[in-house]
Amino acid sequence: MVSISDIISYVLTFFALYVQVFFLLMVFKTREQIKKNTSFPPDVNWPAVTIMVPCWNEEETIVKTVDSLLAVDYPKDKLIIKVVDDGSTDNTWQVIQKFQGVMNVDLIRKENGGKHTAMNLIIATATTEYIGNLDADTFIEPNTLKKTMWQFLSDKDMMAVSPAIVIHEPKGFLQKAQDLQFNMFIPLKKVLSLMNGIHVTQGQFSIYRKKVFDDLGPYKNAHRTEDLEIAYRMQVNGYKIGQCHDAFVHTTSPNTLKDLYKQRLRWMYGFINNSYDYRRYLFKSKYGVFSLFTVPIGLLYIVTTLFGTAVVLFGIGNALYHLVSRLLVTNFHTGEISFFFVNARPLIFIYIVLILFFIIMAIIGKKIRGKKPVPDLSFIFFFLFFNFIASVWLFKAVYNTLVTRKEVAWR
Amino acid sequence: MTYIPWKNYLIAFVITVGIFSTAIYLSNYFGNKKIDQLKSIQDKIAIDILSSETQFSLLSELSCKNISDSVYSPELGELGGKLEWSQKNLVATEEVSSLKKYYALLQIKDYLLAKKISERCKVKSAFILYFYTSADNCRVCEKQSLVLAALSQKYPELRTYSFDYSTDLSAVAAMLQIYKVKDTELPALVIDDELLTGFHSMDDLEKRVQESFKLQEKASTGEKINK
Repeated sequence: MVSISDIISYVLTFFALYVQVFFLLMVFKTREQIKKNTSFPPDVNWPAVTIMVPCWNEEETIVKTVDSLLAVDYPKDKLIIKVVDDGSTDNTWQVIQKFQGVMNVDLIRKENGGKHTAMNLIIATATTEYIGNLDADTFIEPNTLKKTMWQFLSDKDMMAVSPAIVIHEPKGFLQKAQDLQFNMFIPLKKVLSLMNGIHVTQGQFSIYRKKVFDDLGPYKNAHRTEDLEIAYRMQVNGYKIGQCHDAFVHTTSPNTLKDLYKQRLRWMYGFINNSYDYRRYLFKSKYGVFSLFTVPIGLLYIVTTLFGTAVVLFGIGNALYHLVSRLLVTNFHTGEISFFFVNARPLIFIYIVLILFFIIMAIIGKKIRGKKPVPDLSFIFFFLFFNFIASVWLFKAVYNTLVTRKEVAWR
Repeated sequence: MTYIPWKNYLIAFVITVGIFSTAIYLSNYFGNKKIDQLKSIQDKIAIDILSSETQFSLLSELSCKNISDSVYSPELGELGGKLEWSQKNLVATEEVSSLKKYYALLQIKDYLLAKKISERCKVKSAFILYFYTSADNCRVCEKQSLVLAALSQKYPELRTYSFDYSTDLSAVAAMLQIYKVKDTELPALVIDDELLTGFHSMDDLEKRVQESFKLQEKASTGEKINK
């Protein structure tokens, strides 16, 4: 007999498979664009750009971040770096004094008001046509800025561009699993950008035309995910967002479960609540792929992961219960083990296909990164554990949204 | 104008439906393979029983020594578990329930024959008739089945026959009538013509099986003395 749980499983699995098929199809169809590296003529007249580096208690990484900006391959007179200390309580302010007097580096200190206030302070006084931001725990490669800026110069409608994020020197299974996930995001985001369906201009080196802020207003707190909200605002106002998949930005990633939990909880809480705030723009073809596909699949991901984890946990619990009852009632006779009792349900085959598709996407991501396109141990860790761990912050984000309405902390 | 890749949405949908249909086809294919496996086990049991019956008919001319050790079909118990599992998990339930009816008949035949052989040739054996239901979610029945399976493994001379109360078969109905089994008292067991209802533990049944062996020994010793 088919239970309600079975019906929900089939429906959710169908949509999950559909999303994977769609992405792979689009990656296949746009393979030439994905393969192509960004190239530009040698005599480009590069425009001036302001890069904001908001920081709060970043004494350990801020120097490396600013150093990576100073080492960038870009005309020095066209690059303005604004480091804003948002009321740090550690030695961040003292540490950044080493950049005092460096050409085009401005150091600003203000009372703590949140990341968005630090960036809005710069936006309000910026004089360049382009404004970018760089999180203070992130480093860019020397060619990242030119490759990113070229997207604007080659497309007059482009209003914001994000490079591809990679994990900085991943160590241990947890960071390697995040690295794998970020690799998978590279082709996915490229496909979304080609359809103008990107829903986040991340804090790791997204660059905007200043017109975006002039027209749409400054950053908002937006449940501490201002980078998500500004992209939502751009999408509903028809502003084009791109991704430069061969320009890389390296971000330091959480190396403990606790830090990872806090980071992802903030992201997911922000995603759920911003999507709710923008609910009247969802599922409407007028707002394009963002409205019909990107945000709905994000919500579907939450529902599917939570439901899937519940089903798996229930399954494990049930199997353990049966094993213990069997052992107890039979005075520890294990009984016969036969392949006959392996249930070849349709969902088993679909799950195998889904995992294969994920692996293919991760391999494509690795290839774009210029790494050997072969699976490694982090694949096993990712598929066996990471998705289950993800359920914890997903559940908490949903719980906070529905029950406590408690905003989540930065870290 | 906002770009929506409708054509790609549609192609992806068709591919997804294709993958889903293939998965359903594969699942059915393996399900049918299992049913074929069940049928072949059942055929083997039928041949075994027929062979035993033939051997038994020859008993009047031959001595009990000529009854081979393989008179009992070992697959009979194993088949019951597989049929139960198939009924719960496979799509082709009609085919499985028809197999279950046939299985019930084979069990009755085997029971009658095994009892006759045991009485006539004094083969050490004990018999348990087990009545359960698959119609309701009978957790106690599941537990009882586990106990009986473990017990059969421990005592090869013990033959357990399980009958689903809801099997629509006159022979099963006759068994229920003979042993006065009511659907409200399931699971029910019959050992040495005694009806036991509700769950019975491994230890409890083990005692009863050993008693059944002793009774049989006493009977056979008594017969020898009388002779």
